Amino acid sequence: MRGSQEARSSTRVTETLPPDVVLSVRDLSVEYAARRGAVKAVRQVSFDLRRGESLALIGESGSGKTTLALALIRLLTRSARISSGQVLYQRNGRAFDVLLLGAEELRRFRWQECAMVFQSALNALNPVMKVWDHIQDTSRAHDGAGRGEIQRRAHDLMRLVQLDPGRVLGAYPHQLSGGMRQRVLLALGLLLDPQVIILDEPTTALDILTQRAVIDVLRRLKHELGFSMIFISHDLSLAAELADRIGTMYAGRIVELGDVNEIFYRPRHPYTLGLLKAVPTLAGDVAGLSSIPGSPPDLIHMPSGCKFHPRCPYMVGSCVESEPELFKVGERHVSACFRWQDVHRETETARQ
Amino acid sequence: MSQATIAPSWTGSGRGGPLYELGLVLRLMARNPAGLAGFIAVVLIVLLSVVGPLFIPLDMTMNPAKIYQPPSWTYPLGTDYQGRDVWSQIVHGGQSVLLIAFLAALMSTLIAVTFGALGAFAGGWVDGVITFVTDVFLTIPTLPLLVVLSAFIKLNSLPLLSVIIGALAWPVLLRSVRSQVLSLKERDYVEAARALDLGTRHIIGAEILPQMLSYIVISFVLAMRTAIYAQTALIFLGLVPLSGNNWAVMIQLAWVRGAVFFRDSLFYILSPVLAIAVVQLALVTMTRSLEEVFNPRLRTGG
Amino acid sequence: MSVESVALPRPAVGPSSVGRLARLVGGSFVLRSLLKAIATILIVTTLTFFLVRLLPGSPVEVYIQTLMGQYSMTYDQARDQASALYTIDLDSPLYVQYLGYLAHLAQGNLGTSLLSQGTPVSDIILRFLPWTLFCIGTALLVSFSLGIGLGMILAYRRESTLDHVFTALASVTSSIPEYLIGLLLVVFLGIQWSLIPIAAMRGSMSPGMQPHLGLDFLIDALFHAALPITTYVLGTIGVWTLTMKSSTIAALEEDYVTVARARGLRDSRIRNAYVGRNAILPLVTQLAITAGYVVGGAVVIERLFVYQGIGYVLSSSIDQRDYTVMQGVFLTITLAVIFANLLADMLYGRLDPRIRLAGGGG
Repeated sequence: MRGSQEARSSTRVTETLPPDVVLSVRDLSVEYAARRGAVKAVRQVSFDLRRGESLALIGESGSGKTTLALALIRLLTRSARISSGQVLYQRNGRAFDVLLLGAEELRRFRWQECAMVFQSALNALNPVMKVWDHIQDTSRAHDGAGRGEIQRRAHDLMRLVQLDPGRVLGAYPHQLSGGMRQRVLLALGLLLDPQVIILDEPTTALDILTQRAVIDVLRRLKHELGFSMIFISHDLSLAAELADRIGTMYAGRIVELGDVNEIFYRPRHPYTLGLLKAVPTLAGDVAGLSSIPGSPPDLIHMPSGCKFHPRCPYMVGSCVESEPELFKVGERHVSACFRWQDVHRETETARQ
Repeated sequence: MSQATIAPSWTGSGRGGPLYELGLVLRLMARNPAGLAGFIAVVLIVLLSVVGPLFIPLDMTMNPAKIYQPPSWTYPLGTDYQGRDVWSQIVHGGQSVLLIAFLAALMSTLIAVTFGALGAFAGGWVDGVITFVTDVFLTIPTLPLLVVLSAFIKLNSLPLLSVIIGALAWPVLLRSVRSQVLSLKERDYVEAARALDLGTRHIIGAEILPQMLSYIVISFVLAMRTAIYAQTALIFLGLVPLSGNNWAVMIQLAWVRGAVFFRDSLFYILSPVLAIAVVQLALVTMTRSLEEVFNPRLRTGG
Repeated sequence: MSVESVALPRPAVGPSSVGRLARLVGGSFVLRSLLKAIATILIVTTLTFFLVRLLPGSPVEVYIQTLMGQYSMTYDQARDQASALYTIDLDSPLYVQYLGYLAHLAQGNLGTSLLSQGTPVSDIILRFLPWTLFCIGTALLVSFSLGIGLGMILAYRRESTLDHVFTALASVTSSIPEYLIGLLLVVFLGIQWSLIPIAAMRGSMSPGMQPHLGLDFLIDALFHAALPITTYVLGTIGVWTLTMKSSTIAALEEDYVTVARARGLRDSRIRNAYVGRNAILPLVTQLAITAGYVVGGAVVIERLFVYQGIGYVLSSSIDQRDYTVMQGVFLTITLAVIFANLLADMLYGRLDPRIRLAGGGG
């Protein structure tokens, strides 16, 4: 199933990435053209994704997470523009910038190297085609193998995502439930053995039982197949279960990035702290729950300095004047806050 | 103010006199320039047909020497097969066309709205029957049916023709009205009205119908267009012994007299054809501007 | 969305309190369409039967009077003759007459022409119907193919000059009655600019030509049908283009198209199997409605071009008071439309798995 996509020499970068980094995003910015002005949806986002690692991008709606994901495979709408940055992708020791790929190379890059599974798969499948047809289509688009091999692989994948191949492969999308469709899409995403899978709100539209099933499947798959994963959510508890690293996004920027334990036990940004305190735990103290006052900023006319300052309990004068960059606050842990040293969890959750 | 409604209201402010409201409406229509042009064209044609005959007398003088003359100062659109002025005939010919269209559309729209809303709202077997009947009538081709009816019913009076046409043109309208009411029925404010126990008649009258105003008006305009199509076809086939002036009658006469096949009679045949074509076009484009006026989402300017 | 462009929904399923049969019929799309078709046929035949018999100035009575006057027949003699021609037994009570009429119809007996004594109506219909079918069939084929192609192009090139120009053109041609377009064609192409031999194109065949299987006959037929076909095409292509354009635009915005692009599918594949295949569905429903409308318009168009098809026969049979022929032709036309609708329903059912497999498990 793997094709050999050789990058054009013109897109090859001169610098080399560390061998275990699959994806390196550098200073990526995306703008939309709206009537009132330019919407700065993603602002100078940088992060590295290592092999087999799963990164969770957490944020409220409007934080730019979905735009960021779409930008990585250049699937933005026509009104959007990637104004700056690089998306460096590495395979077999060769690295290239996804943003510089030509149309045909980009087409082959998509799904084969990096697959994006969208949220609410309710309408993600062509209603007039069976599931099997979708698989065939995808395989054929990427110089797929013979029919026999595809069939075997399809059966394997269905079983992997805990679906009955006999029932599902011959079905039309409207004959499947939402959860089933989501898993079909997941299986489809794994079809070409991509190095990176992006999941956009993989469980949001599902009921709790199906959520559980999908999370379990994801965890197992990640362990068995060893792909790298970026998943986008507003659900911190999901991140706790699946992520190795967490990045919180606010107003188009990553404001904190670190290992999952670091983020949960030693958060160093007021926004992250706010998110944590808003999550109820089963045995936790309800009185300790709080929500973040205020609402996300207008992405066309943002506040000056740190974009979070209007809602921040730690705000001081310098927060209004200039926007903090990402300071190193721990081992592989950065935070964009001038007062990061003062930020810590006052209330400890009961350790289970 | 009368009993309060929950549905989003149609007109915006309410302040300012009727002239202000008119200006507002015109400006909304202007968002679709083609539509505004259509609306203006319709207004002009109606004015011409209603007011024109008062100022421009119908030329009845038959002058064999002046047959099929080209346009000139005395005869802006030339003369017909008997030497009469074409322009005066055009001016006088619109009334009949528009009146028949208006009456027929009124009838169609009334039937469509009443039964469409009834069916959608009542549901159950009532809806089933109405839908069934509508589907049946939808399948029967209208023009042949009209043609057959004309053989048995003498269509020699304007009201009769209007009624017959109106009685056959409602199926398409009913279907759209019904689907519109069905979707409106599920809206939140209807749920709210029901929860408040405001009564079916109130719900239909005060919550649903005003929202459907746009649909009804647009349906009416399109029904007029269907009626003009039907009457012109019937008249052209010679099945309507209608006396008096009518653009379609002009076309029919021109056809019967072979005026179509002479080079000189171009304006004689072209004038009524263009008149009808322009009216049809204007009516259809006008509906697009009407959508701008009635659609609250577009109205509040984003 | 304008009233015209609303995709007309399938009517709601019937009452739920009836038995298994109703649910079986209500559940199966195909059965429902079939039942409706049969019901429509019954209603139309009943309608024509009672029109002929019961309306003031009933043609049967008029005919009887005419016979009596013209041929000095007695009432009984005239009645017998009328009875034979209309295939109605005037002696029996009304309902028996009705049943007899239906029975005759089922056997394909539509009566005999009043004017051309001895010619069965069915013969007349069979002689002229193929011409209309040929003309309309060709026209719909051409306008449908061109229309969906054009509509898709305009959707993909939204807001371009091409889009503005052709959308405007489509709007104009779809608003004007098609027979006026035909008239304008005759006036301008034929008379004013003498681009086409109008006189030679009259009728459905050249004088002396006999229908036979041969290229020269086909060419002759096309030559004579060219103007009516062009008129139909011009009259309907606008609707196809505009509908296809809007339904393609809607399909392009669907999630599965975005996902298809994310899956790295080729643009051509997406255009055909994802966008096109879904965009065309509303048009299939439209096809049935348009077919009925075009057949209706044939009555005028065929008179305009003196094209001897079934529409021409209908209008001339009314002029000549040949009511048996009129009755038979009207029935045939309606049957053709019903059949076209049924075909379109079936086609739609085949194309859209959501309809075909309604009630599939989830």
